[in-house]
Amino acid sequence: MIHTKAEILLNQRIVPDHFKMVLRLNGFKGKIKPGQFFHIRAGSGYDPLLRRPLSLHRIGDKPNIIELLYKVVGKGTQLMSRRSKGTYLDVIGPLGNGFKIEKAQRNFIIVAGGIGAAPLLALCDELAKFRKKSITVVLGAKFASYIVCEKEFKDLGAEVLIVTEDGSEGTKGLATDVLVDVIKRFDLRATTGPLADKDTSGITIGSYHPLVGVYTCGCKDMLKEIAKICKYYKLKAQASLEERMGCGLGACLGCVVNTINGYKRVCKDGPVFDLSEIAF
Amino acid sequence: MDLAVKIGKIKLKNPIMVASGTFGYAEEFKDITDLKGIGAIITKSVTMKPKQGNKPPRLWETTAGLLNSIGLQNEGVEDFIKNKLPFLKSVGVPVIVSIAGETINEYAQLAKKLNIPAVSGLEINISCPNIKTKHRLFAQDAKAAASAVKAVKKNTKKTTITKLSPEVTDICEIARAVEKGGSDAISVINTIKGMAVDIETQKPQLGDITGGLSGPAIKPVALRIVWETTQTVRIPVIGVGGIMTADDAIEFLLCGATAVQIGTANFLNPQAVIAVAEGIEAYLKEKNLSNLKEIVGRLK
Repeated sequence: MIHTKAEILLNQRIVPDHFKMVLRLNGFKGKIKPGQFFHIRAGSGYDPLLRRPLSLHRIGDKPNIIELLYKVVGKGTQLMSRRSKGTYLDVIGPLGNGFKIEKAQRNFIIVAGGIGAAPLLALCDELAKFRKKSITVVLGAKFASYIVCEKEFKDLGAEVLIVTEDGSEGTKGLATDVLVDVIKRFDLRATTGPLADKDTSGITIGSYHPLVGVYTCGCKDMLKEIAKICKYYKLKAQASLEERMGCGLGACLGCVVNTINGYKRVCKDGPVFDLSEIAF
Repeated sequence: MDLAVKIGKIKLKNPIMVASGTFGYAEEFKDITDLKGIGAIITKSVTMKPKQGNKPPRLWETTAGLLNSIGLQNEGVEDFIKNKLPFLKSVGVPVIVSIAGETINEYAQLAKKLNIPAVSGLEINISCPNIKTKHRLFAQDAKAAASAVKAVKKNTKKTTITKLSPEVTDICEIARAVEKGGSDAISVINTIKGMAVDIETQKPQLGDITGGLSGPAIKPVALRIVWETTQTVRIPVIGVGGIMTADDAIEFLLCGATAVQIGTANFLNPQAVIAVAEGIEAYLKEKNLSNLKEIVGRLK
C-alpha cells in the first residue's frame, strides 16, 4: 500500500458518462490483485469531502501503471472527469482483499452489471492465463450506448453475452436471466457426482461445484438475485461490493455490509466477498 | 521550536492528537502515516461489552461535512486490551483510550479495567450522538456529566479528558460541572446530530436515520465553544471539530485551546497530523515566536 501522487496519463470518455483513466503511481513497487481498489481524492477542496474508492480496472504497461474505469455519478467522479492529462491525483492503494481465484475451477462465469465491469476485466486478465478453461461474460447494461469492455473481454478469449434492459442490443432483460441460461449449459449433476466440499487447499467450503465459478460486480439487487441463483445451483460466487467509504483503511467502520457473520468492512474485509456470506 | 504541551500528567511532543473514531486503533494507518509524529492517539471508543454498531449505510457526505452513524461498533474492552493495546503501546506516543458507558457504573468499570501501564489517559465519551438511549446524553445534563467523571476518577489516577456535546443550552454550565467533577481537561466538540434524505426513495440517507456531523462544516461551532469554555474553566480545553489544516488549528489555539484533535481530515489525508504540526511550526517561525504557549489564548 502506498500514499502517493499519481500522474494522469490518460483521462478519456469511452462511452457516454463512462471514463477510462490511466495513472502512474509514483514510487509504487508492489503487486496489485484484481478486486483491490484505490482511494482517490478527486479534487483539493471540501466538496466533495471524501476520497472515492475505485477498483483496479487493469494493470498497465508497467506494474506501477493502472487503468481505472469509472462512471460519472456525482460530484467526485464529475471532478475526476474534468482532470487533465499531466496533472496529479492523490491516491492511496492498493487496498482491500481482491478476488480469490479457486485453482480447481475451469469454467468461469463473469456477470457485470453496468460499471460493475470495471474490476472484472482485471480479473479476466488473470483468468485468461489458465489453461483448458472457458470464460463466459454476461455484460449487462441499461442500453446499448452504456456497454463497456465488450472488445476487451473478447480479446481475452471470453464469450461475451450482451444484455440490455431496453433491448437496444443483445438480449432484452436482465443479466441474471442470461446467467441462468449459461449455468444450464453445464450438466452440473453429471460433472459433479457427489459435490466437492473442499477447495484446493483442503478447506471445507460447503457443497459447491468444483469446476464452475461465478464472479460478479454490480448493483445490490442484481447481486442479491445472483446469490439466490448460485445457492440454488450450488455454485461458488464472489462479488466485489461497493459502499460509501470514509478512511478506506478499516479504521472508521463507515462502510460495513451485513453478513451472516455480522457487520464486515467493505474496505478491509472486502471489497470481494463470497456472495453466500452476504445477508441481503 | 517548542511545541510540547501537557494535559494533566500527559506530556505531548506536539499539541495534535487524532480524534476518537477517526483513526481506529492506529494500526490501520501504520503503513502510510508517521505515527510517531502524532502528539497523542485517542482510540476508537471502547465499551464494556462488544457492540455491533448501527445499521448501514453509516456515512453520508454533506457540503463540506460528513454525517456518520457508526454506533460505537467495537469488540469490547477485554478484546481491546488483548488485541489492540499492544500495537498502540508499541508506537511510543501517549495512548488515550476513549471510553463510552451506558451507565455510570460502566464508566467506573471501564476506568478500572484500563488502569494499566500501557494506557496514558482516558477520554470520557459522554456525548456520542449515535446511541439510542431513553435518557438524554450524559453530556446534556450537568449532574449526570459530573457523575460520569467522578465515577471514572474514583477508579483511576490517569489523566482524564471529558468529551462534551455542542448540543446543550449552556456549554459553560456543563464544562464547569465536569471540571468540578475532577476532569483534567475537556475536549470540545463531539459531532452535531444531523440528517439527510434521498428524495428519490424518500428515505433517510443513513440506516439509523440520524448521524453526527463532522468536518469543515462544523468548525465555526467548535471554535465558538472552545472560546466560550476557555473563558469559563481553568482546566485545558482541547479543540476538535473540522480542523483540516494548520491554519484551522491555529485558530483554535488562538481561541484558547491547549491542544487540538484531527478527525475527519484523517480520511482525506492520513498525514494530516504531521502537516498540521509542521504548519504550526512554520507559523510560529514566521511570527518570530519559539514557544507554542505564546499563541494559546492570544485572541485579540
